Amino acid sequence: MNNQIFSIAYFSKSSIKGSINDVAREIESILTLARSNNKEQGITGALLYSGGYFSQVIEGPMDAVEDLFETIQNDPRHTDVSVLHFNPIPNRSFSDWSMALAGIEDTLFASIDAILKSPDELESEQAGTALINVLYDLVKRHEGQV
Amino acid sequence: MGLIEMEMVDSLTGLLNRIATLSEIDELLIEEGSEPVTLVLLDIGRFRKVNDSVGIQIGDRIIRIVSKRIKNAAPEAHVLGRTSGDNFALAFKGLSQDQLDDITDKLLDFIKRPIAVGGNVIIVSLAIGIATSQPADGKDAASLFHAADIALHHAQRNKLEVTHFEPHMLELAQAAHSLENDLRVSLATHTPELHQAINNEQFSIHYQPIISSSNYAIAGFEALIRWNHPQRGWVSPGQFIPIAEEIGVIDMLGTWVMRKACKDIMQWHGPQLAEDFFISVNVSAKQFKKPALLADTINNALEESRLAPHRLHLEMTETSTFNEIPEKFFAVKETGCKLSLDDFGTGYSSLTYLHSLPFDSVKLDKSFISDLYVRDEARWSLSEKMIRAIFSLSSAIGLELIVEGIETQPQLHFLHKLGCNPMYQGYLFSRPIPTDQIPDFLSTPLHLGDLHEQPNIQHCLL
Ligand SMILES: Cc1cc2nc3c(=O)[nH]c(=O)nc-3n(C[C@H](O)[C@H](O)[C@H](O)COP(=O)(O)O)c2cc1C
Repeated sequence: MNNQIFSIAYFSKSSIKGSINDVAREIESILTLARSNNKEQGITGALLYSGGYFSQVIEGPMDAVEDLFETIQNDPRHTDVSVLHFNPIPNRSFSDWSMALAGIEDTLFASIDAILKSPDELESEQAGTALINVLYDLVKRHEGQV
Repeated sequence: MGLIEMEMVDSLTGLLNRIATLSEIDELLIEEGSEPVTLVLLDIGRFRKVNDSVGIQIGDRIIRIVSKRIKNAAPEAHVLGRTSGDNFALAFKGLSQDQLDDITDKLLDFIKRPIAVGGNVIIVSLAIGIATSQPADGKDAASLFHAADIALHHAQRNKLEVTHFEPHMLELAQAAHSLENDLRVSLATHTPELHQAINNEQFSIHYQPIISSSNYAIAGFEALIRWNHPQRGWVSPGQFIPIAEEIGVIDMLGTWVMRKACKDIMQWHGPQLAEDFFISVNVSAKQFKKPALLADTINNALEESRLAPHRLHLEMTETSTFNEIPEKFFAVKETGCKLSLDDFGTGYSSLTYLHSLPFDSVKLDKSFISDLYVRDEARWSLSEKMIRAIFSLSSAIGLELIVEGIETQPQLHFLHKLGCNPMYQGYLFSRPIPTDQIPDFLSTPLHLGDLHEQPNIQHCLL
């Protein structure tokens, strides 16, 4: 059971102040650190900033995911964290990325907005899967652009 | 780690333990300077329940995580300790109100964020009690702690997140404490023998008749506990039952009522009594948590009194935990007694309960009937619609309906016109009657006034 891979997906509200450029700079620095930390811990995943919200998927061994999630919880750069799912998964979705950037956007993606507002319509479980899919598509698209 | 250090430190979190926390606060209080000391006590809500559901090991990890979050959210604390299982204390010197607000906001924000442990995601709730020492009053840590603790209890009781100590809370706490003491004395809670423990001079049961609407026979009685304290006089059950639940004597009181009520009903005879009239006894949600004990109590009371099981009805108020425990209902139902859902139409009122749990009757909440006093047409007609809907719902799924709180002829007339056949209970028929007056009550006919000569209900309401 301990070598099982877990994935956690959450939303949070950004507390980073300033223009979208300031936000982008802050996120770049988070990612630089994240990529070296995560590699060491066997963590992969993706991060999106859109319209003042973070969406993140973190995959890895249970303990590593839990430790990293706790570190991120103590970060004052965001608040109002809500977890969509935390489950064992058969395969990683982001195995090629220690922490992929799915985008830094001024406005909230409609697809993210739909999931954010979903609690009534979607079970949280489905919302988690939906978020992973949206992030995966964005990462792929983002990669194509760079 | 040296011996001294070991005695000061809480081994799970590495924070100061209770004793060390208090002595550090004492240090702060006697330090030079007149700046007040603010003590923030923080309690993780329902932690025992979390511990029960995820296990102690994960519970310990949660405590460790919370302690780190506290440290992270309030690095400016002069003293930070874990004072008991799920209790933390932070002390600050010379805080402004704004700074204090900031700190409590941050504590709430960070601690309430989701915690991922052992494959679970857990969100804890918390309550915060705050007390500030006044420069001149030379308080010691223990009394500052006491004040913050009272504020914390006030927060918990009133479902608030943050409460700052105020002197009137002390009075409230003392009043509750003194009522609690009196209750303990009157119940002689140290006495092992139940029949000796309950002071029969003080505790008694009053019985309120429940009337069948089809023939106005007495269908049953609800047993209502009464406490007449030599100094306080009559103390309302609304006041002492919650305390009895809190101090763990509700099982004892409940058992006493059930045994006595079952015995009493066997003594009663009279032409007004319906065949197989029943006795209805209130059961608290706390009692229901231990269904095996409750079933034992029921079986003993039935055996002792030789009352037929179906003549004992248990009334319970809906709680949020109803649907977690369907098996418990069935365990109690096996005794053969009947179950009645009290105060229906308020609170959680889930239709699922009616459908999935083995209730035999429902009691419509008083508020529907008392709304019929109101002259406001809109509310009156809403109440009418609600009552009609509940009538037809309950009869469709084969539940008896009891309407309580009937106090006036117009209310009765209104119910009568609906053309259903519920059971009635209320002052219009009779107040709750002391046990010794029941034989008299049964030997005189019910006084109902002239029900059918109310020409127009609307007219009566105006
Ligand atoms: C939205 C968000 C996502 C983050 N994701 C990661 C991450 O995947 N990995 C990581 O190491 N840190 C991440 N961080 C940063 C951590 O919260 C924390 O600042 C960092 O791990 C501290 O590392 P250090 O203790 O080595 O300085 C994230 C922060 C935010 C606000």
